[in-house]
Amino acid sequence: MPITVAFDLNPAGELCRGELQWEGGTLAARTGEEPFFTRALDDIAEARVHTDVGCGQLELLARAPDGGTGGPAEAISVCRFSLNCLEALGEFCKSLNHYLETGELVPPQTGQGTHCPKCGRSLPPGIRVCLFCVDTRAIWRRAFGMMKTIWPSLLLAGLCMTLFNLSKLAIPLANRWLLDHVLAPAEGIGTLPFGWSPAAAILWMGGGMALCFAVGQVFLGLSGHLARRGSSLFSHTLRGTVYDKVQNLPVAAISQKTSGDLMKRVLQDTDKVRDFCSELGRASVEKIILLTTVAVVLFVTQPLLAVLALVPVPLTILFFRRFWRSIGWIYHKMWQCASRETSVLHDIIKGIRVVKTFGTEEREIAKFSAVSRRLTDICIRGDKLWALINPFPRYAMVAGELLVLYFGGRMVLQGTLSLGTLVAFNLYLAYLYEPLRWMAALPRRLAETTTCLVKIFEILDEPRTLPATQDPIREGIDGAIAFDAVQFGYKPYEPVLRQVSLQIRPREMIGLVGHSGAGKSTMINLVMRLYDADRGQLRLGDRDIKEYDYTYLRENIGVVFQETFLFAGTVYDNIAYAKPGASPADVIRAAKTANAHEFIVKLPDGYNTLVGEDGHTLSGGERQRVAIARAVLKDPKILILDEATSALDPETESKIQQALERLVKNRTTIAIAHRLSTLRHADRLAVIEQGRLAELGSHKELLTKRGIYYGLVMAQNEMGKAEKERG
Amino acid sequence: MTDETIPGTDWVTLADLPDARFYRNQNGFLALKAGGRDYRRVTLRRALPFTDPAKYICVIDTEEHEIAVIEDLAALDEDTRALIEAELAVRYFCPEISEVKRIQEKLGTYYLDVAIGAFEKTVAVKDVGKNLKQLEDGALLVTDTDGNRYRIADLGHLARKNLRMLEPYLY
Repeated sequence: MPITVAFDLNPAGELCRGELQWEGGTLAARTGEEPFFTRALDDIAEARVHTDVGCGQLELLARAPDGGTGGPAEAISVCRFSLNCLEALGEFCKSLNHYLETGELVPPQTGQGTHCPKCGRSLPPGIRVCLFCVDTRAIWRRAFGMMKTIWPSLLLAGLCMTLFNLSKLAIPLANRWLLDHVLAPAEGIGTLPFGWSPAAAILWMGGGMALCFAVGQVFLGLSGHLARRGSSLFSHTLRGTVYDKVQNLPVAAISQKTSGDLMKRVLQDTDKVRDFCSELGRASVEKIILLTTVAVVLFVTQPLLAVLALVPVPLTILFFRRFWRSIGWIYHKMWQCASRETSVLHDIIKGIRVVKTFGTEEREIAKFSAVSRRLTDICIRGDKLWALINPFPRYAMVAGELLVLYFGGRMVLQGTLSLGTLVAFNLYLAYLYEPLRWMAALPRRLAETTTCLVKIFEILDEPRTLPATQDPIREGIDGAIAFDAVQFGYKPYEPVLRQVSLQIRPREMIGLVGHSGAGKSTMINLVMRLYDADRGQLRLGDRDIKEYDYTYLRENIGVVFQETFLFAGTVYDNIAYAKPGASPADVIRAAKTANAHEFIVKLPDGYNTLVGEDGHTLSGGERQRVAIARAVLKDPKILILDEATSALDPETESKIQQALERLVKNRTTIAIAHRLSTLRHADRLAVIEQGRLAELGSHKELLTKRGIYYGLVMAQNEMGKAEKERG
Repeated sequence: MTDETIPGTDWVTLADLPDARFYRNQNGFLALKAGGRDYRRVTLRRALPFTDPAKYICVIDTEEHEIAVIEDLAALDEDTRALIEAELAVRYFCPEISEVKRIQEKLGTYYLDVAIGAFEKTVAVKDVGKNLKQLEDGALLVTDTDGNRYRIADLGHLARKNLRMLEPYLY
């Protein structure tokens, strides 16, 4: 089976539809029938993606001929593509390289990217479901399935609502009877029933109407309560499910979505769905029943008048739509202008010192007032439009009533229609317009809710954490870590680690050294199993890291980062976070080991001091020591220090250094530091260069080797000297 | 403001390099022979891609060092200019949208069905406030979700109802 992938630019850089085909040991690119590029892969060492501005190309690098001393191999261009194809071609490139290295053919991964595999459209930010291709009916079926538990209460709510409406419908009937029989009786109507006097009849009917009204209100209240209760319970469950899911997502999935986006899904989207259940679900039952009943009643009473009354309805709806579009456009523009004004203002105020030092106040004032002027103009325009067209839809609504009044009035005068019927007719009309207007807005709200459901389901369908093996094990981490030809990249076209092999013995301290972006942090991300290696194996103890139980793995790994996040709560809570249920003695002991005890007791509230967003602010060094205390309390087999001592003053640093020395004792430690002096206690240093393990050995060994490490140490010494001289 | 030049670091112009000559290497990549050296592959970078695309073009070698700056394309001889222009056209992908047929909005992402010459495609733009930029020459720069860029030189090409949809985002 040939492997194919699409590309979209021809060699001249113009858009085209091209196909890259890889079959056997040959790569071919074509835009028409005949390929414009064919190349056997026998002597190819590597494929790579080269990016330009808004486009890129796939290149092959030939292996140097045997014993070749002819300098570096020159690239061969295969095909060009715009950024739309970057991801797919990156995956393709990855497979190709794997094949070139090992001879094994692993088809490129597809369909997890940023484009809809069905229609090729780019997906909206943060979601992987194409809104053009999604099966709306399936979404709703699923939603209805989830609402199973609340169906009874929603149906009951709908029933109550219907009863309320029927009670409303009774009122015009009573009105009509009063008019026709009591207030303006036509000739030949006869006497009142039960021997009522006219006054008594008014009293009875009035009482009846009041009763009807009261009963209706009871049903209305009941219905609202039922619907709200059911939907709140539903949204609570839904929210719980979504939140639970978010907590259990793999880091790779979470980092693709912003925290704001996730919060929106947990809170806003579930809310929208709840509103739909409580309002729209119930209302739609009610409005449809009301509409049909009223329409039937109207047509039965007086078909001609009913037609007249309904004539303006479609016109009104059309007008409303058109009107909302115009006014919506203006509002949108207003909102844009306002947000632009805010951002300009924000910019000026934030940069006020720069403005003052350059003396450019006037220019900034002019800039702001121009934006402000725009906002004013658009506001005035919006108001004018609103004032101009707002009366028309209202007028259109009244038009129907006027038609009925004119023709109905004439019928009354001709004696073909009773006065009571005309009045009742007018009352019913009012009932008719409301649901119609509501229904005009229905499609938009339905679409909105569908979108929310899509987003919710997408989260729910995300695979839980990284795949674990069938029977995860809960023992065997002894501190030994082995990287075995590990290959990994966050993006397919950018391998970050290439063939890294490194054995770390239990209780050894390894320092990772290298330029930023070399892949040091990526290595510890893999040890923490935030990501899985693309190829190769990572073993803890004797087993593959994937065989361990997730919780067990995390229990045995402690981390101190450069930046420490403290949760809102007390200092005590923040230390004990590592081990819920730790005794106060344990917590204080941990804090003492971390050199944090001193400064904590100096605070007036001691360990009970509130920290975090609204609490006491701890300095960087203090937060760091809280983090170390956390790690001490956790007592992990493997410890990771990621730039734990950077950006601190010398005195604090020595305190932290001391605390760390206590911490790393008897633990396997992987430490990353840019300042090499902080790694002087490491047993071995691993120098990472462009994703490969370049050098490995003790500080002394590496110095005598005079390689990359030597260069780094010398560079830092020079800088240190220069700083001292200046200081 | 005076006409005096500000003291600063000067760059190497093409004229500073003795017998600089651009050519295509056997694999079709732009290369440069200059000052007795053979740069087997060079990259061109525009310093002012929007405001002055034909001026200040940096020539970079594979080690990311700047070899020279082409101050003005117009000053080059015809063959070299053709070579450089062809390379720039390939390296900078920013085709001209000739027609916008339809605009649909889904979840804040705008899908523009456009024609680029005879080629038709759908361009997805999110965060329209940021990704539709009016350039100084009045053209509209459209950046899609993948980072591709397109130009609409004349907004008059847009159908009225499409323009209306985009108008709130244009400043």
